Amino acid sequence: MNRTKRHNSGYTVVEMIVAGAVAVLLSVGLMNYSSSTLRLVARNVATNHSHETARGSLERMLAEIHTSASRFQLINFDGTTYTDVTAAVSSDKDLYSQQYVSNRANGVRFLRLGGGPVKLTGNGAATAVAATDTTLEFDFTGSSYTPGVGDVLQIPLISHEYNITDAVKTTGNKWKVTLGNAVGFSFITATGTTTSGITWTNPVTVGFFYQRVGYTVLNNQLRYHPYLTDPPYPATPASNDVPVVVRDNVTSPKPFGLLFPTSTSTVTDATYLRISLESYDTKYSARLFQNATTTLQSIIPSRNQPPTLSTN
Amino acid sequence: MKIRIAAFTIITRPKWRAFTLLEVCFALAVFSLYAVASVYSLSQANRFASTSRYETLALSAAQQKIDQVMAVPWSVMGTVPTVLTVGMTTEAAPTVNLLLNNDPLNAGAGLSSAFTSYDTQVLDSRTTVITKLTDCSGQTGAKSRLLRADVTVAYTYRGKAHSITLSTLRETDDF
Repeated sequence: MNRTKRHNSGYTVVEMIVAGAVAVLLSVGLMNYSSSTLRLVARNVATNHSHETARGSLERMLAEIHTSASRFQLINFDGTTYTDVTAAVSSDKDLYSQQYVSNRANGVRFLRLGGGPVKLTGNGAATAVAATDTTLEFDFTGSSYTPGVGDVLQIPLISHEYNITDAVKTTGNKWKVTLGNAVGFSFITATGTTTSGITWTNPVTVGFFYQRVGYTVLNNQLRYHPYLTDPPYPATPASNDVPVVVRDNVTSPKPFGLLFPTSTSTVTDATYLRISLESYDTKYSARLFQNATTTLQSIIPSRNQPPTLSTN
Repeated sequence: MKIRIAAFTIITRPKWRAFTLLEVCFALAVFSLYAVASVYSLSQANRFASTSRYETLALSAAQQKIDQVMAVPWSVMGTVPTVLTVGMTTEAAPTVNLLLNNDPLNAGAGLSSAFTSYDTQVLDSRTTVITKLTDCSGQTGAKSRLLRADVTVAYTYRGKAHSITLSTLRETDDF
């Protein structure tokens, strides 16, 4: 075996200094590059998050609020109890509508169509309905909706609205609902002759059911209440009042308001809901490099004007 | 480098032990190009994100007017609501300062958050054009019960003009 001599004579001080300086320069450059890259990526993610919050919230609320069948009622929700807020005009003029904004609230409630038209089939015991009856039975075949306590029943034939105080499934897809008041009208729901002597063949009377729903903003979340506890609010909300988080990163404390025509108006028709939703990615931590807030302003009306229901 | 020949192993000295200046310069140039391109593309992604955000906000402003057109009660027997008056209506500065991504009313007590001032407002203008169309009964002009609404929201962001237009048809509530 023959091994040649290695010539490891080492670096000079000058070489070391030059190499060190180059290494420092390269490191500083790389650090700056990495820092810029991370900042840009983080800001992009944060911007997309706040944008997504605004866009998603808008789409969801447009779909729901357009279908509102009642006037809007502002509410405040503190996480435990609800309070109805009486809307009063303020001096704040909304630029997009040129109307005056009410005091703001962190929630809003309204009634939306839950199910219907569904066929009236009797009072739960017989096919004939007397004016004094307080129960009605409907056939919900083909409907995914099932009636619940607090919902509102409207029968267009007689232009009447009833609060539902109880709902029980009877046979098949039929449900018997108990009303807050007597029906006030008599119906026949099967072929027969009325008390006034008129004969009907397969008469059809239909009802529409409306659910009380709402939106609230709490703990940076926009929440949808598909089964909002009904007023007057009990100390403990109903067990099925479980809000669904629509979006988080919502930072506006009170985004909802109503509109008044003038600064001295005392009455609002409450058919236009003003929303000023501020969103910010609260998990974005690089405060040194400020990220932007998204502020979405919108005025969304019910497409049912005048409202279908007299109550809300 | 090791060269094994039969039972002998000869360790030779490499012919070169470092990069040439030209190679280093070339490597640095390639890296710089990569760094600049990546930072530029990331900046561009940020610009796209911001632009998309303003488009959403402009869409909301246009949608609001469309909603107004669609929701206002309009009866055959009644007068035509102001918002459905035929012609062009422009809402713009200095008459009215419409803002995207900012709500000055949120500065009030109890209405702001720690992030309220982080938005970047953009001035926009909104133009609504109402045109009467021939309705299903053949009526035209003032007697027509069908109209078209075109709403355009225009704004300038980062020196570039943007606009969004929404259109809808509206007929009377009754016949």
